[in-house]
Amino acid sequence: MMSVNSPSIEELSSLYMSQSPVSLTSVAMHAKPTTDYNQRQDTAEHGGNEACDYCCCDDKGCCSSAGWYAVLIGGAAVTCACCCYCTHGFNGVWTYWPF
Amino acid sequence: MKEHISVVIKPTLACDLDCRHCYHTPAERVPGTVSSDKLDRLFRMVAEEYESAWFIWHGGEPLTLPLRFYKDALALQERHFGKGSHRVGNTIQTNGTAIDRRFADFCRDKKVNLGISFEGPFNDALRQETDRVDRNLSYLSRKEHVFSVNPTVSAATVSKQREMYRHFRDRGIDVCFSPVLPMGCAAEDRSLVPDADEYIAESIRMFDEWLFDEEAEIPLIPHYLYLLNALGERVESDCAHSSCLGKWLCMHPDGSLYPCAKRCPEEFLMGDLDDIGRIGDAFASEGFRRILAGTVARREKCRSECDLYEYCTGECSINACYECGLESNGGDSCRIFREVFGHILGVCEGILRDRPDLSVYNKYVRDAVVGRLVNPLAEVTVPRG
Repeated sequence: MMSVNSPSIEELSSLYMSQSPVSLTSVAMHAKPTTDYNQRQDTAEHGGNEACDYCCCDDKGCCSSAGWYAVLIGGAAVTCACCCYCTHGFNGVWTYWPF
Repeated sequence: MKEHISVVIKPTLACDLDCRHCYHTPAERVPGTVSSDKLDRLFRMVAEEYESAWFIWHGGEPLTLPLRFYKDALALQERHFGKGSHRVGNTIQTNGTAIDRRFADFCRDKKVNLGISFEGPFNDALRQETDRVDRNLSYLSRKEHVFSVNPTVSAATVSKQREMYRHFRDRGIDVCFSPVLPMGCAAEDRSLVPDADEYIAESIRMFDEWLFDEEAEIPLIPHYLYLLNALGERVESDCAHSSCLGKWLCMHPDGSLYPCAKRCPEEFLMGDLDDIGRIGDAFASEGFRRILAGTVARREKCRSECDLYEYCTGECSINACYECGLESNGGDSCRIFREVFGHILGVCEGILRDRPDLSVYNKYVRDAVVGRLVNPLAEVTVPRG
């Protein structure tokens, strides 16, 4: 006969679960390998590249916030302007280059 | 995170009826509502510790509180679990007197399940306001709402179970039967508790009628769930026959916590919501240790003595407490399950052995048997002796 006062809650919980017929199912469910549902599913389409882990990118390779979008567009505009300036209007392609 | 918890919230113990078998005595059924701070704290802790949760609003009568209370409570849930989250669900257990069109629409929109404590034409044996509740049921439709009626069978209505079944069958309302338990008001008036032998005999007759009832458009609960288990599909038939300790929690309006919504003895008090930092603290309390220790001792005996243990898992600890002591079994609840389940197990074994024409059974039984034949999950064990 088991003494009611001696075992700890952890021991009692373990005994209780071992007495439960469905505990086998429960253990089996817990024993399954953990599935990462956020794992990148399109790795093959991207040449095997891993997901970008920079803070500016989300896990799909897009900008992680509106601010980073603004930085991207601004950066592209400034780069364009600099190239245009250095090449005097893309070597004459833009005939209205003022500088 | 832990997987799932069912939390019974008793937002008030006040009630507009005076049911003769109530878990709470008239002296306890006083006005007093759980505060929104307590609800906020409870929802936060549950959302942090569990992947999913089901909240059952019980009482007292939960619908003595205005609809605004439930709108605010569900808004609080959304704040902690997320809007439209599948992690959380709600059931309101009510006597049905306050159900109206607005409330029915709210339950439909928010996907709140309803359990209505009602005995149909025999409601007056335990409760009042029978005509009003019967009228209010018309606000609920099977297409738009998830609801069931939960008749409680007393000594006066023990022979009326089949009539109650037919009453709700004809209205297409799901029904779940249980007997009056000798606790709360019924502990002081034992004449309400049905004789176990009479309950068993009539419960089996009702099952047999449902079994061959081609018009049955409703599952008879808990018998149908017993049948699924007997056929090898392991579903939790009812809370009394599952390993509920650690998976259920009940909070009273003052924030006190118990392991069950039934009338829990004070020795099982698991503390106060305001005194714990997380739900796990309540399950580490001395009160929970007491019920767990007694239950383990009882189940050890059951497991060695009863061939139906794998189906009943040692019965309900609170029922055992009031019937023959926490560490003992063999009380009325135990006998009722043993006899009723044993009968259903025998019926299933006969069907699988004799392969009779299935068209004589109702559609629930036909589907369950065909499922068992197509996908045999486990051998059916026949009770010894």
